[in-house]
Parts: sequence; structure tokens; C-alpha cells
Amino acid sequence: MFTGNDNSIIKADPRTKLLLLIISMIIPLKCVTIFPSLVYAALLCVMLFLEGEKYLSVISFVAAMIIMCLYAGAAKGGFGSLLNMICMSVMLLIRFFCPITMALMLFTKTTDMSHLISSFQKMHLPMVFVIPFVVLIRFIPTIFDEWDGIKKAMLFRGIEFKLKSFLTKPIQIIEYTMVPLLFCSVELMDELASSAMARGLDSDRQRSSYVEARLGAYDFLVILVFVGFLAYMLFIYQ
Amino acid sequence: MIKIEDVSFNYTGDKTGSNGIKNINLTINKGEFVVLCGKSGCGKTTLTRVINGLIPHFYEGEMEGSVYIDDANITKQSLSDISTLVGSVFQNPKSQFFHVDTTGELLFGCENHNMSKELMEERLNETADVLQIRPLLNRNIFELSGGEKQQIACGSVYASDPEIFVMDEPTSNLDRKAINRLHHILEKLKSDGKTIVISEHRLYFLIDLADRFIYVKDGEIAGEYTAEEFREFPNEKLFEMGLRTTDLSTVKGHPLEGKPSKPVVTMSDLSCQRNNSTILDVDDLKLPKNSVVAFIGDNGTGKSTLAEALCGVLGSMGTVSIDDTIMDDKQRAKACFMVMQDVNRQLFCESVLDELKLNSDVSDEQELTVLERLGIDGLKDRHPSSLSGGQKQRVAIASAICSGKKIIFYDEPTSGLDYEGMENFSKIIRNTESEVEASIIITHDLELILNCCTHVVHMEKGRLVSVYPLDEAGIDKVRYYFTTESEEAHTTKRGSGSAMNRIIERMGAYKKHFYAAIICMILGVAASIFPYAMLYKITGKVLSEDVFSIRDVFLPILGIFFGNIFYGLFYTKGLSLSHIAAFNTLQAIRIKLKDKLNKQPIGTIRQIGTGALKKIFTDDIEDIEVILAHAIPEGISNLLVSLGILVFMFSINFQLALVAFCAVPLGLLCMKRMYDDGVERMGGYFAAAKRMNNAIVEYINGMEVVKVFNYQSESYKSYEASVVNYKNLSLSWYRACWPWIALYMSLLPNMLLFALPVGTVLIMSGVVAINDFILIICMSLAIGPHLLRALSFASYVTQINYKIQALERVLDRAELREGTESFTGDEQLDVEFKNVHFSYNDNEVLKDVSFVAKAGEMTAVVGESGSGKSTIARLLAHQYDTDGGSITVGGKKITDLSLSELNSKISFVSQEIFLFNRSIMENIRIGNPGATDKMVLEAARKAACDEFIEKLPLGYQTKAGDAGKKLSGGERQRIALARAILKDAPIVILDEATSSIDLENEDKINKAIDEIIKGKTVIVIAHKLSAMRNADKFVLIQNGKVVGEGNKTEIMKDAYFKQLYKLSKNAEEWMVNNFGDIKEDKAI
Repeated sequence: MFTGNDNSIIKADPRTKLLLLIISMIIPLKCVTIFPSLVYAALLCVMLFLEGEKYLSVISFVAAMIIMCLYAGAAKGGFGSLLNMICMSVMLLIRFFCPITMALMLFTKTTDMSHLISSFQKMHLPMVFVIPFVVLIRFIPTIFDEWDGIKKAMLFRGIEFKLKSFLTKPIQIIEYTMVPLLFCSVELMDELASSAMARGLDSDRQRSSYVEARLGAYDFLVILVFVGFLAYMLFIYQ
Repeated sequence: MIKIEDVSFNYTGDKTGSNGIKNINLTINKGEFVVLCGKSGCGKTTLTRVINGLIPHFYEGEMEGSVYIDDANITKQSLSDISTLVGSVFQNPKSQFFHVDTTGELLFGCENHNMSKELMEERLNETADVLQIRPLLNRNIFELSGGEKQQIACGSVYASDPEIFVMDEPTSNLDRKAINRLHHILEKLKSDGKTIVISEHRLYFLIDLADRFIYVKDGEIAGEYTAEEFREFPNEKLFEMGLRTTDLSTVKGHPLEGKPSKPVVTMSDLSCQRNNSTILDVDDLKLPKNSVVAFIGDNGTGKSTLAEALCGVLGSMGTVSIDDTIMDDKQRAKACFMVMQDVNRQLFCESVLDELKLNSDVSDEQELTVLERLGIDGLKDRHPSSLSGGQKQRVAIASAICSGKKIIFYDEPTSGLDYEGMENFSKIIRNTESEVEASIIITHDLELILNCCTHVVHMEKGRLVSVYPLDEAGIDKVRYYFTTESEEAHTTKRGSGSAMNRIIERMGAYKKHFYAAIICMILGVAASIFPYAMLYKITGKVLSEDVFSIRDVFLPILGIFFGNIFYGLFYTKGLSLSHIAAFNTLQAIRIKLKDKLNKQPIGTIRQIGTGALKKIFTDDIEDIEVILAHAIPEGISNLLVSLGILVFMFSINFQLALVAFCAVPLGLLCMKRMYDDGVERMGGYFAAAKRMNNAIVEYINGMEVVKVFNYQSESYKSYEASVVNYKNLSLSWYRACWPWIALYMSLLPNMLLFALPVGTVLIMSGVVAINDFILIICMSLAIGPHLLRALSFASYVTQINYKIQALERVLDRAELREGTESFTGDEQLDVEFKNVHFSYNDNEVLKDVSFVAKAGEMTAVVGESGSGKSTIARLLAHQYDTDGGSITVGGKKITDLSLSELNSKISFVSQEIFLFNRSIMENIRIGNPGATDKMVLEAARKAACDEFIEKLPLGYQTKAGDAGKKLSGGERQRIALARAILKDAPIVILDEATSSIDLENEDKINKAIDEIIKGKTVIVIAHKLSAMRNADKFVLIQNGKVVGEGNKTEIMKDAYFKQLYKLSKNAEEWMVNNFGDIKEDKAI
């Protein structure tokens, strides 16, 4: 997450990708028919491809096609029977989240942290928001690491983290996972904060950045295409 | 300059006052290197925090006094201002990084100081060059090792260019390699004139850098020493002060006594995969009862993986038995316990007593006795998280003992502990001996190992290097490991991509064929669907129209016909393409494997075994053919088309498609059960196959011995055992598989099973049109066989990773270290051994061997059998890499030379000579492939070969037979000499070169040898003194050590040489009577 990649053909500004994410949230509300949905999915896949996630772009396009076909099949039946209703609502949900997921992948997989911070700074977001956000993202892998260790420790102590034990004694299981996780995290957080402060991180001070996020011609082109598509869907297509 | 004036500090909420400091007065000059040492909790970390401003700006407490840096009172400045003056490196590499990528992290400080972009660029480049961390740029922090993280932390501080560096126990999580590297960095910083304040337990690596040692005790400065004074302190005094040693080579151990006990943990063929690569591969390991075993090796070599696999918390393949019962993962997790490095993770309850009761049924009294023994009975009602690190560790150990664990693992238990803490830990280990059958300690701490361990397991790259008990020799060996500098290397950026991707990479130019094959097959399968679509057309017509003519069905019938034809055409074309790609890939892999094998030390090749190698070269590579030519292209095409049709079916009619499809998940479920079972057994199965192979090869190779000594029964037993084992494993696997196979084979193709009845009902109720129903039926019929075909390859998919990894494992063993340098041609080719250490697996053969063989002189290496003489020869020929020390030829390390360059300079005549099954002429010509026939004949004549060769039926054109079996040992040696004569290299090694030559020819041979060694650097290894009568220098080897050297007169004074000489002379007396000329040997 937010590690970026080295094989992108074109790198869009994180702000552009953020905008695409917002557009992708509006699109499924408005375009319910199959063809425009597919066109939008294709647009996103082209973006993914250009940003260097080649396999992912192909896979997500195929997935989008399959989802749309299935959706079409389910829509045929309408809400007639109970079975149809279930199928229809499941497919509706999946179809709704399809573009959002793709845009989210585009945002998280192809952006690296330095660019993200830089673009946040450009957007004049206050540092009191940016720093916790960055630390939060930075902390996710660490939490997973801790979680892994705790699961092993639980195995040694004869506590099994399984659905069954989770259903029979949920409170106990939550206690056994949260207690060590919290104690580990608190300590790590403390160390991380002291290390960052000792190296001069200060929310009140002007901060420069090595990589600079900049909106280029490519970004404006992308924005034009996506906003244009959204406008077309909102006002003209019917 | 740092000036600390009368500073006292107490942390808020800390009533005991530990960790605090009192009345500190200290001045540190610019450019000084100061080490703060003292027991854990003495306040040295607090002192570093006072300097870098974290106290009082981050940590809260009462502070008195003030701290000045260059006359500015930093207690009044903000942290970000202090950070421009003082850079800090912390203990835990896990929690001091803000960014996820290394470049961002390196520049983090610079960005905070609002540097311009150009300046940052400059700083980044300087940091990368000066600290030599360029290979680490642009990497993900999470894939770096602990040592590399610490380098980045140093780099990040260096980049922002402060005058003062403050480090708080930077080595507590590091291995010996990383400490070495840190030492270099510190050296660099010191030479740049930076002021360095470092708080550390490990003192040995700082002793040559530090200017001043400050001993902190109970929050006060209890002593200041210069480096010279400090170095003079004997270990006893340091230990009394609670400090670690300043010189690792002086640490003493207690040699292990007593008989080896029977193993309590036995494992065989344990392997473990993560992220598509094998990270653990242990053939065989036994841990004795009541032992304390140290796992050593650099970070990331699989020590923790092995421990976790043994504990059963990490999925692994292979068999592990504890107390003679084979246990699966779950059982092992019950019998074992691991005290983790971060003990916080394993304390779950609200009080120490609750912690011990968790999932165990001990009584309160038992609990108390355990706590008492560990010295923590006073803490029984405390909350575990309120305890100190050492106390938490003891609570964890107590919980393990209370729940009856037999084997306890400790993951770096003494990292960041002072001498006292380490001593206490050793005591605990000894105290638990009665309950615990074996303790296993993963550690980088030599003092701990020598203090309490009984055995050492040394690992490298996921494999065992050696396993040895800590007797006298073992102690020397482990100390040597920790005190030598290992070569530096950065881990490389991890290659992403699955095993599949990697094998496709190997295809090279044939990738195109492979992809074309897939496309052809997809077209083929699609064409095979077409007839069913036509069938639907026909039935549709039949149902909709009352009357229909032949014209209506003609086109569809034509479609059916062509569909089938295209299916056949495309599919066969695809298959032929995929085979072209597959066989060319096999060829590429075989060539690559051979190249790789050439660069392996001979020892590694022997260790793998001829049988296993043969299996890899033939069977395993052959298996990849099935995967590349069939499983992948056919699997993908059949699956893709089937999926496409399924999607189509769903879009036609959701309900009918669901009904038709519902048999598939059931079939898949059966299949999954089967494969889960298979994956579990696969490791054991393949290992059994490997063993059987090796046993067969051994049996056949040893046939001669077997027949002569009537060794039938013994040898046959091991052969039979491996075959029976293999049979049992395969049969049990098949037995477990059969029911599942039968089930899914019958379920999968039967898509009609549910579709037909349900469909009929739906039609009757009018929900579904009859057309749709027929279409669904047709399509189900069409994809059934394809789906089955695709899934039949699933078994290969589970194997593919295993197979490819097995191949890659052969490829990824450590190669012989090889450079690119070459000789200019006019060097004096002196051969020098400098502090060379070498071991064959567990026993050290050469211990600190140093000697020089001057160019143009003859140096004789003398010693008993097994003293390591031949090993010296093999090391010089670079058949193995040394464990430590260096071998130079003409002033160049042999590891810097290319193998071919070195080989061109050395003629090596060894005891065992291998002849290829070619003509004798060709066999001699191996010495110099460019030689003419005449030169070969001349060389053969000089080596006194011609007389026996001419007696052979075809003379020089006679085949030498399989491995030269047609010739006698003496004859083979003479051919080897002829090769050496032909090669005419400036360095000649004669390793028992005349041992098998009969007396009649010895004289001639000796003359021949005299001729070839004229003016060359010669190293002679021989038992017979006659072979070394002209030696200029003697090197006397006893038990892997050089015990004497010198010329004839000097060496004759040596008592050991005299003894050897006497023995050898006695032997030679026999022949002296017959051959007068040997008498002159008596001169030596």
C-alpha cells in the first residue's frame, strides 16, 4: 500500500487519482446500463495499465466484463422470484462497488508515500492531518506483523483463533488479541513518535519535499476525459 | 561541544527512580567519540535523551540543570532546532522509520529542515557514496534486514548533516555482519570529525574507535576511562561492573563433557516455502536430550523459520518427531513453546498468576514453586505489562513450564541485555533443565553461547552448515565464527513474481511460441464449442417451426463439421508450438544448471549426491515438460473458454445456469480435499523419492565392495528400506486420493444432473423459455469435458511450485567466490596461505594455517594422514572456498581471480584420477586442448606412459574404459602426470602423485617430475619422503595446524618431524635395499 512501482509509463499526480476516486463513487449511481459501465471500467483499466499495473489492469477488465455479463443475466429475471431477487441484489452490489474498487486500487497501488505527502502539502491540508494519516498508513504493515506474531503466541498458549472459537467465546478472543496488540502498538507508536520528533518533524514548521507532485498536461488530459465522461453521463446520456 | 551541567531527571510516574539520572556533569569535546556503558536501567539511555533533547521536550518528568551545545542552552530550544545539531539513531529498527521507501526515509530529516531540492539531491548522493549504501536506495523498508535498516537510520541522520551523532544501543538487534558494517560507518563518521555519543552493551566492536568510556551506575557517572585504560580491564572486572567483554577472543567457555545422549527432536527433510521461494531446506537434524542448542547464523538465514517450523506454528513439509513420536503441526505447537523477542506479544492476562493458569491445570502451589525458582514470586499479582523486559521474559518461561512444554525456544533472549542479565538468563536455562527436555536459543551473543549452550547449529541460506557439540574444538570453532569479519553484501532487491513467471522468463526467445500456443488452443477449444451452438440452432428450428427443410439444417451441419475440423487443427497446432517452447526451455534450463554446477564447490556437489543430481537433471527437468507443454497452455485455454461459456450461460438465464453449475463447486470441493492432502504429503513423498534414488546409486556404485565382502545383507537393507518407504508413502497417498478422485470425476462432468429436472419444472411453471433451456443444456454438454480436462491439470499446478523451486534450490547454493582479475604475466607466483580456516561440514580440518610457498621453489607439506594436507591442495586449486583467511597467488587473492585464470596457472595432480571414456590420446590432451599429437606423445614419453600404452591393443587410440577402469592406479597416475607435463603451468601441485606408482617406474617418474617442476612453484604432498627429497622448504602439519616449517636442516630439528621421518624411513627401508639411489634421501 502506497509503495508505488517502478514500471509506470506515465505517472499521474496523486490529486488526479483522488479526483478519479471521487468520480468513481458518483458514476455507479448514474450509469446503470451495461455499456457505459464497461466503457468506464475500460477507462480505469487503461489508467491502471499506464501506471504500471499491467497484469492487474487486464485482470480487472476481465473481471469487470464478467461482472457486467452476470449482472445482465440477473437483471433479465428482474425481481420476479426470491432466487432472482437475491441474485439481482448481490449483482447490483457487486456492480456498484466495481468501479470504486478499481479506482481505489489505482490510488493505493500506484502512488508512493512521498508523492502523496507532497500533494497533500500542495493542497494546503494542515500538517496535523497529514502526519497522522501518513503514520496510519505506515503502521498498517507493522500491525500485520504484530498480528502475525500474536497469532503464533496464541497457538503456543492453546488459544485458537478460528471462527468457531470466535463464535463461542468472542469476548475472550477479542481480549486475547487486543491486549497484546495494544501493548505492542503503544510502545512502537511511542518509539516512532520520538524518532520522528528527534529528526525534526514539527507540524508548525515549513517543510520541503524531495519529490514534488505536479499537475502536468497528462493530468489535465486525464481529468478532462473523466470529468467529460461524468458530465456526459449526468446530463446527456439517457 | 556538549556541556551537561548538574542535570538530574526523573520520569513522571516512576517512583522507584530507576532509569533516572542524578547530578550529571559531563563535557564532551568536538570530534570526540564517547561510549556510555553500564548495566541495564542505569540511566545511559536517559543520558542520550538529554543530549538529543527528547528530554525534556518529549519524555515528561522533573528535570534540573541545563545542557549546552556550543554554548546554546538546548533545554530552552525546540526539538526541531535541536535536531539540526544532533542526529539520533535508536535501538529498534522496526519503529524508527517514518517512510516506507528508503530514499524518502534518508531524506526525511532534510525535508524537515526545509532544505532545497538541489541540496537534498547532493546530500543524498553524498550519503549513498560515503556510507556505501547505494544498493539500498529505492527499496521498501520492510524488505530490508535489521542491519540494513540500521544503516538507513544512520544514513538518514548523516544526510541532514548534524555535528553530533547520538546512538542508543544501535546493535542490540544486529548480527555480526551488520555490526561490522556499522563499525565501518562509525569509523567514517569519526574520521569526518563528528562528535559521537553512543550508549551500548556490546563494547568489543567499539574498543578501537572510542576515545572515552563513561561508566554510568544508578544514574550517576561512576567512572571515566580512556580507551587504553578500558582495554586493560580484565573480563572479571568488567563482569563485576555488569559490562560485556571488550574482546570476544578472551571469553571462556566450559567444554562439554559426558556421553552424547539420545535425540529428543528428530527432523528429516524439513522444508518451508514463503513468497514462492524455499526459505528452509534441512535434510536431517537431531537435537540431543537435555541439551541447550544455539542456532547461529546471519540475520535472515532461516533460524527463526526453522524454529517456528519445528514448533508447528509455520506451515512446513517434512517429518518431525519429538520423543520418538512423529507429530504434526498442532501436536508440536502443544509440546513446544517459544519465548519471543518481543515478549509483549505473548502475555494475555491481567495478572502473573492468571497468565500461568491460562489453558493449564496447575495448582497454586505448583505455580508458586515455579515462580520462586525463576525468582519472580514477589510479582505474582502484578499486571504483566507493568513488569520490566527481563521479568516479562521470566513470566513467559514460567507459563511454558506450567503448561508442561517439553521444548522451549528462545528468540534472541539476550539482545540488549547487560552481563548480569545474560548471566541471569543462563541461570534460568540451567534451572529449567529438569522440566525441559531441550532448550533452543536463537542468538548472536557469543558470551551467552559459551556460558550455557551445549551444542551449536550453524545455518546459512536456509540450510544447515554445521552442527557440533561445544567441546574444546567446538568452542574454538564458534569463537572463530564470531570473531572473523564476514564479507559484506547487501541483500538484493527481491524479485517479485511467482515460480510460474520465473519459468516463463527462462523461455527467452521461445516465449512467443508459448503464448502463440495458448492462443491457438483457446481458438481450438472455442471451435469445439461451436458445434454445440449449432446443435442449439437446429433444435431451436425444430421446436419453433412446424415444417423445416434440409436447407434449414444445412448451414448448422456445415458449422458442426467445420467446428470440429478447426478444433483439431488449432489444438494440434497449439500442442506442437507448446512442445517447441517446452523442449527449448528444458534445454536452456539444463545448460544453465550445468554452468551453475561448474561453479559449485566440490563439497556441495558431493553433499547433494549423484542420485539426487541425476534425478534433477533428468526426471525433474523432464517433469517441467508436462507443465509447460500441457498443463499450462491446455489448462489455461480449457479453463478460460469454460469460464467464458459459464458467464454466457449466466447472462442467458441466471437460474438455469446456477442449477447447471451447482455440481461444479461440489466437484471442486472434493478436488480441493484431495489436493490439500497431497500438498501435505508431497514433501515427504519427494524426499522419499530422493532418498531412494541416492540409495540405488550407492548400491550400484558399491556393487564391487558388496560382492567381495559379501556385504549383501547390510547394504541391501538400506536399499530395501528406502524402496519400501517410498512404496508406503506413494500407496498411502494414492489410497487417500482415490475416493476423492472417483467423486469429482463423476460429479464434474455431470452438469445435466441438476439442470435437467429443475429445468423441466421451471419450464412447466412457465418461468423459463424452452429455448433458453435448450441452450443451457447444449452449453453444459459442451463445456463438461473441457472443464474436466482443465481441472485434471490441477495436480500439476500444486506440483509446479515445488518442482521449480527444487530446481532453483540447486541453482541458488553459494557459488565459489570468483572475481574477474587476471595475471599480467610477469608476477612472481608466490603462493601464500594466511590464517586459513576450513571445515568439511561439522569438523574443522584446517585451523589457522599460514605459510608461504615461494615462486620457483619446492615446498613440501608433511603430516600424518588426515592432518589436512590434501585439503590444502584442494583449497589452492579453488575446489572449495575457505571459511576464513585468504589464499593468494602472486599477491592476488584466488577469490578475486576468475576460475579459468587460476586453473590456467595451476597443474593439479591428485590422488584420484578420473579418465573419460575416450581414447588415451584425448585423455592426455585434456592438459592442453590445443596440443598436437606429437606434443601428446612427447609428454607421454616423459611421464613414462609410452611403454604401457604401446602394449595396449589400440595403443594411444585405446578407450580408457568407464572412469578409466581399464588402467591400473599407477598407470592412471602416469597419465595424470603426462597431462601436467602437457599443461606446463607455472604452479604444480602434486598431491600424492606417485603413491600408486610401482617401484620399477618410480625412478623414471621422479626424473620426469624433476623435469616438469624445474623453475616452477611446486607444492608436494606425500607420505613417501622420496617424493620430496629436493624440497626447499618443509611445512609440517599436525591436526590442521602448522606446527613447524623451515628448510631441511631446520625441520630435522623438529621432534614431530623426526618421528614422522622415522616411520616413513622404516617403511622405505624395505626398498632401500633394492634401490640404491633412494639412499641419498637419507641426507634429509
